[in-house]
Amino acid sequence: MNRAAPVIQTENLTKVYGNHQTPKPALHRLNLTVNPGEIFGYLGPNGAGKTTTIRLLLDLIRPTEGSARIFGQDARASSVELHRRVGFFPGELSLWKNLRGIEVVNYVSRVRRNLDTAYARQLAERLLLDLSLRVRSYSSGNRRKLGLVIALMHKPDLLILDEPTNGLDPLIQQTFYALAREIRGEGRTIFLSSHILSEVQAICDRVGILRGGELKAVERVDALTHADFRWVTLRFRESVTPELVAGVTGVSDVSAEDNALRLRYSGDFDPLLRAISSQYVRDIHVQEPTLEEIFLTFYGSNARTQAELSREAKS
Amino acid sequence: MTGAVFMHTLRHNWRAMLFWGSGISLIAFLQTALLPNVDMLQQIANLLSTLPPALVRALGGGDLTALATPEGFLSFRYFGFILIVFAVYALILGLNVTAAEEEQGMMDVLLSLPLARWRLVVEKLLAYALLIIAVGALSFVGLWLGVALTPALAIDPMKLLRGTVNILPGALLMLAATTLIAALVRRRGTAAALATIFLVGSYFLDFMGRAVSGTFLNTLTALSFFTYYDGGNVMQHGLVWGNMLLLLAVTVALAGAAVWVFQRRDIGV
Repeated sequence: MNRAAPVIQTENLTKVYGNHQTPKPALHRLNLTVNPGEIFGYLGPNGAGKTTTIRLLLDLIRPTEGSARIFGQDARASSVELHRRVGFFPGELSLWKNLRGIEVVNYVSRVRRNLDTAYARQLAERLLLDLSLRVRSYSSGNRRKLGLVIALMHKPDLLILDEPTNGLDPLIQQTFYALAREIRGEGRTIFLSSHILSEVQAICDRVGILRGGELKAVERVDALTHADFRWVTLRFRESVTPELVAGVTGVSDVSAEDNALRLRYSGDFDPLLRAISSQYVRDIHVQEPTLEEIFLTFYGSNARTQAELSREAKS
Repeated sequence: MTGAVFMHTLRHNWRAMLFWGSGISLIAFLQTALLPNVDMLQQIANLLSTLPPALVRALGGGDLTALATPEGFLSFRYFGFILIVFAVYALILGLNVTAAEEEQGMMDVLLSLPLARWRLVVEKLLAYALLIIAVGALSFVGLWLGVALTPALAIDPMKLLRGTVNILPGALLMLAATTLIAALVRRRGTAAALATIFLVGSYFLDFMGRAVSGTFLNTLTALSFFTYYDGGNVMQHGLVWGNMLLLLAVTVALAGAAVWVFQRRDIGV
């Protein structure tokens, strides 16, 4: 394989559900490139088109228009061949409930014609998963661990993961992040969809931001982090006014309610803590911005889509 | 061909097959073991001769002389209706070819593996066909045991075997038809409803049509797969190879159509 060739490349990939009378656009002219050896975060709110993209890449659904190539081969025409090199974790994971974990592993390995399940057992140990139990007795978190095992067990060149850490406890999330970094270290590629910014920031190299079925931006993660801010809620014993934090660098959008101040804050926390030190602070709550807020911060409210930019360039 | 799906399907359905096979085998055993003696058979035939001929035909008893024989009576009491039971089993299996895993969400995992859609359908169909044949074999064992334990009855086991073999094309057709319906409509409940309508409709079309010979309804019985089964006469007259081959050809066509449909459409979530 030519190492410089993209692992995933889509060209005007479009999916419209429904019929001609009531079309439901799910993905609009997606042009995306994922390079070898990177962890690509595919970020967007629920319903943005992330899962549709993934199902198109895996030939589970067929594009209305455009095409997708994986390892240089057409995702539809060469799907069976490509799937030997791809591991997949679906967002809404469902497995054979009457089978034991190890039976699911064996079934998948037989279909893959890869009968060595030693690595699968290693993965299960790392994820603290008991493969001897039946799937129906697993918690949702354990089912997702089993999903990760069967996605990773054949050491695929490309991993397509749809919100893999949903429902995993924080400890196992960290194990997953470590696994993802190991996979990248081996030169393999991960395409990871998520709606959790912190997850993408933790492990991804680049991020594509999807909204309303359109790819709004593709950025390096450190660039997104640069635009980062927090929503901070400060609860005091006494009533306070916004003037308390007026003039503090990084503070904006301050609102007062009862004995609390809610504000948008960027930068180190020390100046803010010094400014409120004259008051008795009952509680501090720090909340990550939503994807929409990050997007608007990064691109401004006049942000244009790639499709719009492309149309403008052509005209 | 890896056969992984074929083996998996067999491995996880043989218990249910044993359940169905044992049940049908028990019915077969009871129908033969409790078969009245030849004198009683003649009395029953006489009684049936008092019924309207259309009703007797609809019930599968065309030849009242034959009904007085053990073979004729067994055809009337067992082979006349047992295809319905086999067809229900085949319908349930047909729903499991694609609809069950698609509706429950496992299909995404399965088709993300290096497994062509056509292969998935074909391997499952072959496994389920084998399970239907296994149920047929168990039912034959039940019939044979019943005859063996009833010395008054002298039925050639080959006739029992012919009767059993005659069931299989219809059951396989029902398997393929349900698979096609499920491939078309995706949802298991909808597919089950439509397949049931097909099964019940076919049965009643044949049942009603046979009762009114010489009418348009009678002509329409050609559309019912029960028409080509003719379980009421197989013991006496042997297999009608033309009918069997026709049913098998339609089965292959329906299975091919199911593969074609499933190959081309989006997988549901």
